[in-house]
Amino acid sequence: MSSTLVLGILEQGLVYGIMALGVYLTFRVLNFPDLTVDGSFTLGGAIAAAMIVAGHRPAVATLVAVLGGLAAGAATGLLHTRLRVSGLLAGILTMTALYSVNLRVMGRSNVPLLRRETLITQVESLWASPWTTLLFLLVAGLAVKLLLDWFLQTEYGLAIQATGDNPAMIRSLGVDTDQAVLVGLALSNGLVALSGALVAQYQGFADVGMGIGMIVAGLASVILGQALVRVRGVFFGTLAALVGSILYRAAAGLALRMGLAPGDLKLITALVVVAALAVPRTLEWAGQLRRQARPRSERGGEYA
Amino acid sequence: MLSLRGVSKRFRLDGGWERPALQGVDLFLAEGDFATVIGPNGAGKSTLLNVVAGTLRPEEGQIWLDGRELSHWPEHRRARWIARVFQDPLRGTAAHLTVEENLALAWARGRRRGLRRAVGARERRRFQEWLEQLNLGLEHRLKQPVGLLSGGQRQALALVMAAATRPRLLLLDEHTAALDPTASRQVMELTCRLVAEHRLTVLMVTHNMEQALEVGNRTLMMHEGRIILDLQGEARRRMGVEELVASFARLRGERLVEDRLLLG
Repeated sequence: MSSTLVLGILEQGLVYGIMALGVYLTFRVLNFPDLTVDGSFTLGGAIAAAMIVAGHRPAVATLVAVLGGLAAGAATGLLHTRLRVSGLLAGILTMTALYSVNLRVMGRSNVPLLRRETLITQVESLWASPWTTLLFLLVAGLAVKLLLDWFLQTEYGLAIQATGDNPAMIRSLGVDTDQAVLVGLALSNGLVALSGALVAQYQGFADVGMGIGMIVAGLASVILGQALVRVRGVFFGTLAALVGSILYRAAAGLALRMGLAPGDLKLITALVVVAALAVPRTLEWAGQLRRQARPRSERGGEYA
Repeated sequence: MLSLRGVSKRFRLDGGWERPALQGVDLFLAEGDFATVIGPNGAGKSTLLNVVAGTLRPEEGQIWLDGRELSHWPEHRRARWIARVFQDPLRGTAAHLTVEENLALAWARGRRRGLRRAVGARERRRFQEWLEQLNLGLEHRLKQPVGLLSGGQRQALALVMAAATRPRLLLLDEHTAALDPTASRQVMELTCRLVAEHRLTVLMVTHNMEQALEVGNRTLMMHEGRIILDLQGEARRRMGVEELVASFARLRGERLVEDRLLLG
């Protein structure tokens, strides 16, 4: 593999890794299947691109994009906790509504950022090297990871973790679990929108379709990462999400080089997630068959 | 302390039928009371605890604790003063979090949870001391996920978490019923120790008649959503298990006659 290809994979892995951290927060920590992601990722890209084109500073545009993501997550959270809409449906409703919002924000389906000043061009102008962008995204990805680690170890963060683990128990300890879910969803989608804003600046455009399949890519990253980093706890959980994201982009890059069309990637991604979900179950099933097939005496011998 | 006034709760069944779970329950617990609650399945024992804890809202009646009316408070607000241990050891602790993280969650009961580090050096020392007093071998397992502990250890931990912040009222819902005999005895001993140490007011549901008479200072008998017997003092000391069963049969009989008279 050429070094520019490796560089590209690492850069993409890190910039999409921030989205995977958001997915980790909802799916793994809160145990909430949040489908808002496809919409909030695009929302982040749309807000950042539209504001940069309107002449705002890229840092401000990125910050507002994060606020947009927070609001999107809160919308899903309110649907779920106030109106008692199921988690899946609440996410789908927000995601669908966001499609229209995103088009309104951008004014059209695609906003190019050619020859515009973005966070990426700003850091590149600071230090001209092929490594600059990677270094910037590495710092950004690690900073988000460490912030999330810190937050989840605080008193409130621990209450959010417990909400995903045992809601009845944490309510009996005085935590408003509805509020914890709401805060968790908002933060998660804030991270997803940050990722979307950075991706738009990294690739040089925002597109209304840029978030399609993002939730599955995020899930694939989290699952791949956890297959590799098998240590429990938040620190390694978030690390796994970042590592998984890089692995996922590497696999996608490889698939493209092997001649697959970019359009086939979503199918491959879905299959990867299905495989990852199927493998443990199949192993369990195979193990049961083996145990049943062996006679009792042989089984006893195993422990002798 | 705790007082329930005319508390009624109905469960809606399919087809519009309603089953009364609590029928105008009046109850007063004085500071330091340790009341055990017995009665057949469906008598309303768990519903009584759920209504006090705020998991269920009664249709009628009031619930007061220390001169405050809690009737309309959500469960998480009542949790500041009311602690609870469930029957299922899996329900009282968070399996994926470590022993010290679970203790930290309990330590923050009733306080605003902010952005302070949940488990710092100071907390770790405090939790270590708590667990050393228990003699359960848990003091060396602070950093292990609770899911690795046995049912008895998890229940003991849940009990410590409930009692740690000296709640005004402790609700125990058959909290030893799902354990093996040894663990059950240990958890019951621990319960009595913690209750005495923190001078807690307790409402404990149990299926064990002997336990219901031995432990605490009051025994409440429930049947069809009513408290039909409230034993305390000399009468309770003289009461044996057989006599208790007999009086249940007698009281239930009287109730049936009463109901028949009402219907007739």
